[in-house]
Formats: sequence, structure tokens, C-alpha cells
Amino acid sequence: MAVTSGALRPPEAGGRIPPTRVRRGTLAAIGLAFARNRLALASALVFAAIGVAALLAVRLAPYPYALQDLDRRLEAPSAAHLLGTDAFGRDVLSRIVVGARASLATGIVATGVALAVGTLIGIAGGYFLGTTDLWLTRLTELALGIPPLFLVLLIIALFGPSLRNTILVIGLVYWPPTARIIRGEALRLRQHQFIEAAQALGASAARTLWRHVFPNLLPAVIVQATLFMADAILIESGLSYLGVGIQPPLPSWGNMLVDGRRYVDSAWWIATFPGTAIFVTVLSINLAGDGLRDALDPRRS
Amino acid sequence: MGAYVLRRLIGTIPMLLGVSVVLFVLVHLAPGGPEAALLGGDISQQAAQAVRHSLGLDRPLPLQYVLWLRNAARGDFGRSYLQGAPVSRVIKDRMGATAELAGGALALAVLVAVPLGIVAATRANSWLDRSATGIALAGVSFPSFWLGILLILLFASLLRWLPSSGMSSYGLEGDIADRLRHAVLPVVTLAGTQVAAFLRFTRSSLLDSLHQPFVSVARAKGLRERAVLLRHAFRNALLPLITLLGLSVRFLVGGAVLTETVFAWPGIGRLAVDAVTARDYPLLLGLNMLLALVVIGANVLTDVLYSIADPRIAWR
Repeated sequence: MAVTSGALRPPEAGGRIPPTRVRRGTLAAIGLAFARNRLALASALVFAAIGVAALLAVRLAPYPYALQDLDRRLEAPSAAHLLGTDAFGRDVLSRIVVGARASLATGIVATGVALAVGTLIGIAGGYFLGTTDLWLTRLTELALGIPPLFLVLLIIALFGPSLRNTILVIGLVYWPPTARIIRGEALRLRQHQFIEAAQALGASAARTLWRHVFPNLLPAVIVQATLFMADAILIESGLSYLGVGIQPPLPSWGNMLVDGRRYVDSAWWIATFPGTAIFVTVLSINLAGDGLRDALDPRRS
Repeated sequence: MGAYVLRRLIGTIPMLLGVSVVLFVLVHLAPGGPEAALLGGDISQQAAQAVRHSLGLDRPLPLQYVLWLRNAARGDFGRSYLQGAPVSRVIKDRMGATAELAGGALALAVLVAVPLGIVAATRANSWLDRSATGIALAGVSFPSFWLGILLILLFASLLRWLPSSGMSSYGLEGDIADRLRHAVLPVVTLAGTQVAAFLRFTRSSLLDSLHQPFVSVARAKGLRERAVLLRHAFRNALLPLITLLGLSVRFLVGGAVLTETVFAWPGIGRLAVDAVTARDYPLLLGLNMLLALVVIGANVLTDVLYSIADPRIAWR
């Protein structure tokens, strides 16, 4: 068995959450602990604001995102165009607001897919053990053996770039770290007496997993979700930057930065603002995630 | 120990076979074969058939796989559709540039992050620790390619100190100083996000081991703090760091793709992006296999180093 386990994260980041049972009282306590952390709360609010902006994008944007004004190409920020215009004279602010949709959609849906696959494989291996576990662990190691970005590139080359494919590919390629962590948690959980009790009472495997194992895995799953959502948004922006993610004219923060690089000598605003949007979004998720992790695990801090 | 290393090496063979099957099936599952990409979209049924036949794509899939595997075992991954040259040579021409970039970035990241992490952990919750961890958190939230663009904006466009693309200036290909000047920004870019991850990891790993009983014992027997820290606490904190270094290979090759694109660095990362747009299947397969080999090799190396660093781990 390889000793290289765990994702590229600090040791406390994943897999060490004690099996807390989530009940209503516990949920309130977690909420309270989270709210007490001002930085985390502020970050959650920032993220929520970005989410609202993404939902209302088309109404909030001062101009239609694809509206070209070739007389006003590469204009510096001004009262008419607060964040300047790009190489086609399109309003950068409007494109950033609309671009939030692609980033958040990827962040949320790709995270959902990756977690669903990872949790399913992790639970199955950690709970059933034996040959099931052996094969699932091998599958996980196999998936870990291919550099993820290259696998994504290969799949995009085969199935073509689009928003839907980007989301699916990110979700389907980046599940192994989650599977590993959830497997470890499930392994630990199944030694608890309440699991044995459920089995002794004649509960089916499906019922035991769903009613007894899964709820106790939730804290670990939530932590993974916040960690991965930040990564998923970074990955999407990178793919779009490479030209294999969200395709123009649909704006995404990553594909806007292509122009940022191309016109870096003459238009600093295109290179600066979309990147800031990515950074602020990802940072707010990371900070809120840190707070959530502390709230879920009172032993830390 | 020799037997252990050998067993681990043999253990990589089924892994590589598994990876190759997955990749091979994936490529051939894809809708629209390479003939469309080779001849352009609008081609006759007959022409497509001829191309498929000449590429051997009309044979049964298992047979194709066995043939591919037989050649691959001899280092022959077919010819790149894009360049016409053998895949192995195309990759070999580009590998040096990526190795230079990734190696430089890894070294820089370790040299910056580990000392900073040690300082942050020993002065936990001081302003120094807070600013270091704050910067590290910002660092992991930073898109690496955006860091590259910002560095270009500052050091190439505004200050004009450093070149913004390529590996060397035209006509100065052999000049070491010129090459180094070209390497600064890409290496810093790729190292940037790794620094953040390494720093966070070193700090929390060292903090963990500073709270272990053996550290109290070392202090109690009157060792100087420096010795406690470096010889007892840090040595134990090193173990997870080795794991991290092994894992970072996966992320370095990913980061290299973006960094090479930003800086027009002629490595395999850019090659992969070009291969995607041209649907150059043999090249993509070859690249993925090579990188799987590198990643799996790095894992084995990590495990071996790990068991050297930690005598408690038996040579199982």
C-alpha cells in the first residue's frame, strides 16, 4: 500500500474531522461558531453577493456583454466604461458580471459531480471492504496516476469544448482525493457500535449506509466541498484561458484574460480586473471554508 | 531495501497498463475520428475510410491496443498527426524546457516556503505568522496564469527589466545570462502557488510535531531550543513534507501547461494544448503516458524516501 495518501493540503485540512453526529442542536451550534468568526462570515457574504450578481447578471450589467463598439476599442476605464473596454470595444465590467455565471456554475455543479462520485466510491470501499474495496482503491490510484489537467485536456480534445463539457470533465476527473478521504472516514465509522447495532437490528446495507454512515460523513463532505469549489473555479478559469473551456463570445473570467495577456502592453485593465474577480471569489470561498471547518471541528483553534 | 524498491517498481507495471487501457479506450470512444481533423470537416465517406484504413483505425479495438502496446513498449508511440515526426522525438525535443521550468520552480518553492513555514510555526500567532499564513492563503487563491500576466505587466511592460516570452532572444540562443533572464518570470510564476501550498503545509506539519510529547522530553532534558526544533521537531515534520513533494509533481505538470502558455515557453505543456486543438491523438496519448510514468515514478520515489526517513516503516 502506498504511503502517499492525502491531497495537496495541510494535514489538518481533510480527513481528521471526528465523527460528529449532525443533529438540529449541533447545526445551530455550528452556525453560531461560524458566525462568531467575522472574517469567515464576511467572506460568506462576499461570496453570496457574487452569487446574486451572477443570478442577476444580465440585468446588472450596464451593457449587453457581446455589444461591440469598434470606435471605442481598448479604452481605459472612464465614467462610461468603469473598467474600460476590450479589443472589440466591449464593456469589461459587463463581461465580468456575466462571466460570474460560468465560474459559479462550474464551481457548484462540478463540485457536486466530483463529490457525488468520490463519496460513492469512498463509502462503498470503506464500508464493504474486501474485494470491492480492493478494486475501488486500485481505480482511485489509477486515476491519481494521470496528471489531472492533461486528462482534462485529452477529454476536451475528444468531446469538444463547451460549458457543459467543462463542468462534467472537471467533476469526473477530480474525484479521487475525495474518494480517499471519505474511504478513510467510512473505515473509521464502521468500527463504531451504532453501526454494529444497526446491522444487528437487521438493517439492510443500503439503510445502514444512508441513515447511519452518510450523515456522519457529512462534515467531511462539506469540508471537501468548500476546498474543491475553490479549486474547480481556478481550474475552469485555467481551461478557459487555454482556450479549451468556455468559448468566446460567451465571457468567462479565464477567456477574458487571453486578451489581457495579448494586450498587456497597451491595456492593463483587461489583464487586471477579470483576474481580480477570480481571486476575490476563490479567496472568499477559501476563507469561508476555513471558518466552516473550524466551526465543524471545535477541537481545532 | 533493494527488494522493496524492486517490488515497488514491478508494482508500477499493472498501474501503467491500467492507465494505458483507460486512455486508449477513451480516445477511441470519442465521436468523430481523427480523419475529420486531418482532412478538414467536409470529406467523402470514401476518403474517410481510406484514412481510417491507412491509420489502422478500421481494425478491432483490442487488436489496435495490442499493436499500440507492442510498439509503445519499444518506445514507439506512432507519428504525430500535427508534425509528422515520431511522437517520442516530438516529446523529447520539448521535454528539456519543461524540466528546466518545473525543476527551477520546485527548488525555488522549497527554498522559500520551508524556512518561512518553520518561522511561522515556531512563532505561531505572532504578526509574522499571521502575515505569512495570510499571504499563503491569498497565494492558493491566486490563479497561477494571472500571477504570470501581472508579473509581465509589472516587470516586462512597465519596468522593462525582463523579457515576457520565449526561452532566449533571437541570435543569443547559447547565452546563459540571456536564458536565465528569460527563465525568471516563468519560474517565479510556477513556483508562486507551490510556495503558498508548501508554506501552509510546513507550518501545520511542524506545529503538529511541536505538540508531541517527544518535543517536551527534548526540552526537559535541557536541549537548546534550536536543537529541539531542528533535530527533533523538524525531522518528524519532514515526513509529510516528502509526501507533499511527491504529490506536487502532479500539480507542477498541470501548472506548467498554463505557465508555458502565458510565457510562450516551448515545453510539453504548450505542446499538449496544441495537440488538443489539432486532435493529435497519438501525441496526446504519448504525452499522457509519459506524464503518468513521471507521476507514478515520483510516487515510488516518495515511498522509498519516506521509508528511508522513517525507520519505523518496515520494508513491506
